[in-house]
Amino acid sequence: MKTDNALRKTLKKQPVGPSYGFANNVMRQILLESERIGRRNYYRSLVLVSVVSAGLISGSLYAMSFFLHFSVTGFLQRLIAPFRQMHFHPEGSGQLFLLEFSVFLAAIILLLLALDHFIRKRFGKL
Amino acid sequence: MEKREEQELIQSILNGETRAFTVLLERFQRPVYSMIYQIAGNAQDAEELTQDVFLKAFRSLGTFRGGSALSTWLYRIAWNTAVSHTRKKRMEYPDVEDGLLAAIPDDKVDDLLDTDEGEAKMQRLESAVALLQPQEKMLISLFYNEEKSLAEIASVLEISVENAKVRLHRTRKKLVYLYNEHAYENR
Repeated sequence: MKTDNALRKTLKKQPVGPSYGFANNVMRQILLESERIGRRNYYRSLVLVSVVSAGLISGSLYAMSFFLHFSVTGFLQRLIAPFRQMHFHPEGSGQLFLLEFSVFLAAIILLLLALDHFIRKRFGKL
Repeated sequence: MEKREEQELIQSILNGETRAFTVLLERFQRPVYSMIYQIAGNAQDAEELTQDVFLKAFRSLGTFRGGSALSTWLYRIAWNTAVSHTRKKRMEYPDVEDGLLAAIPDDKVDDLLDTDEGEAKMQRLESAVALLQPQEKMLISLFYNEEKSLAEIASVLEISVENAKVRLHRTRKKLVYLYNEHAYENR
């Protein structure tokens, strides 16, 4: 095969590039697309975190009610009981219950933070 | 652009520096457009398709693993975009039997494609190129305009290197056939 100069020259005769302003138009589209992708990723991560959180809370409640004989309705009644009485008792069983409840909430928050850290590390920047 | 530079550029785009995509665009807009123009046949379609190619490239940049050169990856997107356009438009091309091509001697092919004998011949050759099938146009565009190796061309067109070599040989002969038999009909 020789250099095929005639064919090379014919192919070079075709328009060399797109019209003026083409790159700007494409970059505008790319920036819009980038924003769209960013928004989509944000909503995806929001849904993911919500679903995982709901799952963890449900799982915790399930485990507590079956393995620790924890009653959700009883728990809620005990939770609102101090507010029903409209009295503040700094001592006694009410204070102990609030301490337990605070530890429970703190544990869930720590668990969710750990999960958030794991997801960010596993799937990159969300 | 070296492979390391390519990787750094891609990483910065993926890390949110979207404006870095301009470098890619400036570097490849001309060859991508030129290739697509060969297949689409008009400037308007070529520009729209080139825009599609860069948008697709941006969306799927995260899937580029660096197994091939960035240009090869981008040309593959361009090829797929252009070929799907020709299918949508139901573009038709003359088919030439292998027997007719086999009868054309190699020295005749070399003479025709190598010797530049003035404007009339060039115009006729241009008409012959326009009658080639999309894959043949892509093949000669990559080989002669972009000076890509047969291995890279094979990777873009997703065929074997041997197949790319055979097709290039066949395309050169087909150009001679079309030059002699059809080129003026298309003008």
